[in-house]
Amino acid sequence: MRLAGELGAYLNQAVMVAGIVIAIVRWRHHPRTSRLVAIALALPLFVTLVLPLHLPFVWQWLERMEDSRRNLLVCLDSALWKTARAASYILLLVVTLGPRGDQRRDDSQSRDRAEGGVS
Amino acid sequence: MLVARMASYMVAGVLAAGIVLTIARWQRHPRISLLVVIALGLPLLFDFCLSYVFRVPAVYGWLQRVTPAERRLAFGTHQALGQVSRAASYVLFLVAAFGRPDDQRTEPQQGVPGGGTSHVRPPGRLQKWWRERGLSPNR
Repeated sequence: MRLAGELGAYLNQAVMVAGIVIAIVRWRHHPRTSRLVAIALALPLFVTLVLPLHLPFVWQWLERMEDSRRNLLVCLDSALWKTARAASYILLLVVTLGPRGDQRRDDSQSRDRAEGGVS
Repeated sequence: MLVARMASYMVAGVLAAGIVLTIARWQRHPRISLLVVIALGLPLLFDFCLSYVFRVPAVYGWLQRVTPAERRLAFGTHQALGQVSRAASYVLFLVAAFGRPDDQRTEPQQGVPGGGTSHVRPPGRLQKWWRERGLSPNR
């Protein structure tokens, strides 16, 4: 079951990477949306990869530390990761519920087309 | 420990506030709002609420009685559900962000040049070939 948890973590990271790739691919169509989505997905991914306290050799180094210092580091790591997740959700909410920059452009284009097409 | 717990509450607060905000804006973007509510509800339910289930005295007592293997199974299932719910949440957010907006999902109007929407795909070469011969490819 531990394996299932680890596989879930890898799935999570794969989804984030895939999301960043999609954002880069669609950058021309939706520049603002793509930028915000890329930042939102890169943030927790960056924290996960930069602070790898779960790696065996880092964990061995932590094991040699004093209990209080180790607990502090683990708690700080957890807090930082959760803060990154919260920031990621806020950015994704802004992207999905906020006005789209490219939509504004699309609206003006369709209005121009309608005005030109009706006459 | 307190810092990590506060961060947990912060994530849950963001998720709950997001759900409230999305429901408030439901009329403007119904389809996107539905996707966002599911995307926020999944991690809130499986990641945050489920961790509190283990603190319920009955569940906690049961966990003390079971074998270590069963305990590992319970915690592993919780962890896997949390991870999968987070992945599903990101997928739903991506669909909501890059999918077609609600106001551009209207059916093409008859008699309006361009079908009345900016996202109606123009007919392809094969479709034109069929039309020129008065045939329908859908027969």
